[in-house]
Amino acid sequence: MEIRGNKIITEPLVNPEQTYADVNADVCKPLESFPTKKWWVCFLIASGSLLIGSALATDMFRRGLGVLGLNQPVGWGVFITNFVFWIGIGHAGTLISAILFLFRQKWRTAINRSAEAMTIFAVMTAGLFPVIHTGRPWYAFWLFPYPNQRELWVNFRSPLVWDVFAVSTYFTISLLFWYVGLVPDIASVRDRCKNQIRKFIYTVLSLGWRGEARHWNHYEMAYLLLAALSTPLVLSVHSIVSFDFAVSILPGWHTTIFPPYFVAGAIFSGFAMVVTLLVIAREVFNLKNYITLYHMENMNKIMLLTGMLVGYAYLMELFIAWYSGNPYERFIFANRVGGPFAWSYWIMMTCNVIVPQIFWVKKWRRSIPIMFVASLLINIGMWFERFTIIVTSLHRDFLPSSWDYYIPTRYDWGITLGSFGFFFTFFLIFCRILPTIAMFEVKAIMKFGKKEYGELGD
Amino acid sequence: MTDTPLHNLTRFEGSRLFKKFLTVLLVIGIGFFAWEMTQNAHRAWANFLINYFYWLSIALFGLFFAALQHITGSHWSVTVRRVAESFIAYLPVSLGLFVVLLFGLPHLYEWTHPHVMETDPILKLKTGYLNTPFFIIRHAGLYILCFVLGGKLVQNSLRQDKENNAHLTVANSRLSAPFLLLFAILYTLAAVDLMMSLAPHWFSTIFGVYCWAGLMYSGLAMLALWVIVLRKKGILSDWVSENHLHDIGKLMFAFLVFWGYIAFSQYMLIWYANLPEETPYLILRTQGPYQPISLALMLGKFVIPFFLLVSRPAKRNQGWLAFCALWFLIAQWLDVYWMVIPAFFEKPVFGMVEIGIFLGFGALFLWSVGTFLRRVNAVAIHDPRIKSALHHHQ
Repeated sequence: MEIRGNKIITEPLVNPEQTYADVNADVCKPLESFPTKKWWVCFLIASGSLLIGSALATDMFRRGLGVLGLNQPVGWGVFITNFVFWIGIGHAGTLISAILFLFRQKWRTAINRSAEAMTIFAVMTAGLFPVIHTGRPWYAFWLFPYPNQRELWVNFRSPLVWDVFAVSTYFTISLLFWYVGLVPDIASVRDRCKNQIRKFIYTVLSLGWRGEARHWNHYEMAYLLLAALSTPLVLSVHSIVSFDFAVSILPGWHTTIFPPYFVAGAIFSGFAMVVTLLVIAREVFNLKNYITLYHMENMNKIMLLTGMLVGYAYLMELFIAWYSGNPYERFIFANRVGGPFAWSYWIMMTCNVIVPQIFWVKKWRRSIPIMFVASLLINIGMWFERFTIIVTSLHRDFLPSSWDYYIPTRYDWGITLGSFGFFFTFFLIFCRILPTIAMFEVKAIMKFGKKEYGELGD
Repeated sequence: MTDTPLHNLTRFEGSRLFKKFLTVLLVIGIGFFAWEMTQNAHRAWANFLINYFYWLSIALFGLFFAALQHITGSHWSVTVRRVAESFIAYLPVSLGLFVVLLFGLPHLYEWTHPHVMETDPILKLKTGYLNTPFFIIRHAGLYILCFVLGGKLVQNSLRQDKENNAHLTVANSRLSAPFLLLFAILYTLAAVDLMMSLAPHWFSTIFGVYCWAGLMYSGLAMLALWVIVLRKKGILSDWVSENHLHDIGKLMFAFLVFWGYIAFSQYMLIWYANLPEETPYLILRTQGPYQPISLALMLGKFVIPFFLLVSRPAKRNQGWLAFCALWFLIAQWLDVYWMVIPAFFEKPVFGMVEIGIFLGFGALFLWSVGTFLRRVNAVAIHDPRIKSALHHHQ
């Protein structure tokens, strides 16, 4: 914050030298030119990883789930960790586009498009895991309640079924929300097209958008309503994911703070992923004038906040485990902190609670290398948070004779790698075919030729 | 003073009749408390605790809200922030009441009795936390935080009225971060100490968040009520428009839903798992004589006000918003009642004692905030963001 007289001057959201024409030219450039070498390298790595994952998954389906590290007593492992991890990643997008919209946070405009795209791909990635974890993905339709001759129904009292509804609702609404926001920009791309086939495709996708006053009027209302509908979804999806654990009676899983704690963690990891991706994207696609340090700083602030929220939950769990006086609760937490999986607990604590503390310093909040490393560490930490929760509560259950250590196999790791490949392949394709920045929203907040209150009389 | 708004800001002045009215309420409160002490000391202290926690939370909301607005750099809220800051005036009174509460500890908390702690195998394990000296230290910590950091926050804001210095806003946004961080910890502990330890065997990790949701719920309602009163008196009528009321209303609605979410999370998870160490707390409250209270809480704190406040006109109409705010305040009282009373009585108790003691505490709150506002401007007139707050549209 800079102070001039009795005024606080805030940083411009977009580099003030940019004109409206620059926005179109810069944002559409990756769509209208051939892929660069950098893009190809990224794409080959991503699709290669996807290929490895697919090959291993196919082999796993052929030979059975026994190839994984799962056994008694650890029946949930890396796959469920991945599921929760990817669902969590899918939270920042809708938070940025819906909740920050309702809170009138204008800085969201430059980052909402790519964050939402990320949300959609992350939820798609997450959706793979429960399905392949069944070992028989061809029966995936059994997840849905539908009338059938056998009169078999899903167990409506199981949070696993609630998950099916929560995640599919979230995916549908996020997709609609994203697409509605894309329509005016697709129309801009259409109008720039020279190739006839290209023009035809974007014409169909833009749903006849002409930019009439009536179109805008409807658009604004639709967007506001979808934002209001998505806001409870941001909270509900990860709350219901947390119910998968918390409705059980397993110490370490059953605790009442789980719903808000999972939501905070999801936003935390989602923002970390957005930072990781945008640091790369603004470099590769030359978007530094739109995704400025100010945007990155704000996201780092949110990571600082949500990092401390999950820190609060970790401490509260420890405190209440002690306070409860319940020997099982006390044991499971002592085992987390000092047992065979203590390394995983301390990775989680270090990456999620200690690492974000560097963002108290403004200089570090605005340093690209620091935030990039921090965001990677937070992603790792959040993956291990889920791993810790899942594995440490299972590996030493109520029957000490069955206690065991859990070692994931190359199938676990390979398919995990594949999920990253899946996610990044989609993301890289998205960057090539759709505008990564909401051009019309950025134009609306540009100060080019405008003045606002507070600047009067400057 | 070119960049101050053209308006003259008058000071708040409670009418004589109102002051007399508050005095009467206070006397009623003290009278009922004293009388009930001779009849049923448990009931007297239980009511004292309900109101102590209830009004303390509202006062703490004031600081929390001010800090939150500073740290987020909000523009819209500048015109109503001072009203929230004025809630700090109740905290010294509350500290006095805390000293009184200490005399009631043996009546309220099982864990204050050494023989209980020694004989109960589970409580024995908690002695390190549940003991009177540590209880006082933890609670004193909350007051120290509020008086030191919170006091500085309000002081800077008041200084700005005279000095017209934007640096004070920056200073406050820096102060707000450690304040909020420590507040989260200390308020959680206060919730555990004052409310959760009434049932010393019971535990719930979400409990601090649950109480904080109630703090926001009732605090925003109290803020709305004060703002509307000051508008009616003409003090804030040029400063606070429907758009500001709309924003307060939106926040009230948001925290209504948030409370519903947290309450559902706590209830559903305990109900579903049905563990003997957790579930008695809810069985006591949701089955048997207390069932109507639980139902009233669900309907009165969530379902009905949801529909009262969901529409846009409801949040922009001053009279309707004031009605909703009163509703919220009563609903929050019921929530604290729901947490406290079942710990002491087999059946719900409600009568003049409950009302009288509530009114007595309320009188103290209104008196302290009113006195504060009589001495200071009701708006942070030189806040650098005041202009943009005055032109807040939506």
